Amino acid sequence: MAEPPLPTPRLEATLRVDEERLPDILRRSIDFGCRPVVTKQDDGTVTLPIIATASQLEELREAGYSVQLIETPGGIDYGVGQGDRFDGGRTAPRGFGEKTGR
Amino acid sequence: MTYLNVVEVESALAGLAAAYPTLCQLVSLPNPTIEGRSTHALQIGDVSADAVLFTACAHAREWGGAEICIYFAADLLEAYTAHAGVAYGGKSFSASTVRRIVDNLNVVVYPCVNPDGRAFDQLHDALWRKNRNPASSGGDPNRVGVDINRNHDFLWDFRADFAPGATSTGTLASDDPGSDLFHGTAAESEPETRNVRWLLDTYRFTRWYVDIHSYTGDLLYSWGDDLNQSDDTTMNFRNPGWNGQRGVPGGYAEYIPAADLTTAQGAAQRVVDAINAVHGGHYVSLQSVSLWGSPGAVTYPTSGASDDYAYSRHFADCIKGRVFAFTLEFGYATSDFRTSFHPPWPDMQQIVLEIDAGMFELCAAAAPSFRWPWIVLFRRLWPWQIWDPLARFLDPIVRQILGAVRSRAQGSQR
Ligand SMILES: [Zn+2]
Repeated sequence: MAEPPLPTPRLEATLRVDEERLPDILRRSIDFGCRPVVTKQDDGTVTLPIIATASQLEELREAGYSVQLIETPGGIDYGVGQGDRFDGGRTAPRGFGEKTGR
Repeated sequence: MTYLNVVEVESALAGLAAAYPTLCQLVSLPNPTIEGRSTHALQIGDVSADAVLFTACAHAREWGGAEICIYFAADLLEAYTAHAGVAYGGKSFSASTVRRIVDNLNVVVYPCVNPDGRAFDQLHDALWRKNRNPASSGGDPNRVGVDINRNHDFLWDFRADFAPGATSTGTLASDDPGSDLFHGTAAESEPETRNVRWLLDTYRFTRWYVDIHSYTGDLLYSWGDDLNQSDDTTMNFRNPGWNGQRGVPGGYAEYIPAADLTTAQGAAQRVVDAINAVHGGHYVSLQSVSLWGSPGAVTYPTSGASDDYAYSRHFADCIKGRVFAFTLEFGYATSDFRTSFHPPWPDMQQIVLEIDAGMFELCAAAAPSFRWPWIVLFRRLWPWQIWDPLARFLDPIVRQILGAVRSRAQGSQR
């Protein structure tokens, strides 16, 4: 069976807006992460990271927003298990807490 | 060490159930995912005791919630069996606390609500949030999936329930399948959502619920649709008279009994303090609707979220118990999204220690030191399946009688 097509790759960017315009930006259908992370800057603006396609970023620029692309550090191995370390349930995981007073 | 893939999440749970058969059991969730995956939860302790429910990974890219749940369960079971306590950096729990939790509480962990999304995100590194339901996509890969955390049965119909100003926010929910906040075609349309509901229905003595997400370093308590108020009982999510007015500054605010707010805030602070004690972190607790952490400033209203749904149940249905519900956002923002959502594993391992300490703290707070045997017996033997429909039938009648008695008493006072 053919693999279904993948979604358009998305980029990460930092959006900088005047604080009064924050509600306007939150109204746009943008991916802000699980919840928006808004950081107040000293110059009265706020910044928030967003995830968007290249064309969505272009639309934001055209609407007058300051958009700075985040250079994502390539090559980071976030590390996902390949096989099954628990052997289908024949091995139990061990917690990371230190067991005390036994 | 690395993050767990979706097969390992399941086999880790099975491994714990096999290693500690007298202390816990593997629980099969009834609804397979769209891609046909079956999922399990782990139930630890006595099912007739008050329950604490932890769920994670409703949002696919927030990987670490599964590990947080699984290694917490492993610590609890291992320490209990060894008559040991558990220490996480600067926070420790005694052997007697561990014993009290397992003996007097029902701890349920459901580490991966959305395995289809997790598998997709781990394979394609796609920063994927939703599940993988293609039903509303029209074949467009950019329009696949439903946001599980907007699909719960709490003010789901956001266009009717919220003010027009709130419905245009990008935070509330969306009926556009291309949005990351797409709320599905109906409340609980998704099998993942129904599985969470099933856990709340099945463990009817659930008193505490934490849905684990990443990343903003905070613990959020109800409500998430609007600011809280404790004065006007009629200004609440069930009252259609307030439809079209929620989620914007001024006017509507959601009713929460003052005692509930105190309890929720106290518990949230206790959990946050435990998390911060591990490595000197700076997690904070705040109301779910807050964006800044200060009520009244810019808000982040949500519709159909898990925490509000769980807490709302007892207001909406007389047979449901009161569940204090929270969203926990582990980790802090880093320079890029991938590292924020799922930090490189050595960093995630430190986060697991912190959040597991917070989970232990909540369980320690919830676990009574003693349970009356007749209450245990009552909960086990009472014919709930007969009682529940009867209670639902009697509830409005009893309310009507009480209301009439009250108004007559007030009339005679005048
Ligand atoms: Zn999330």
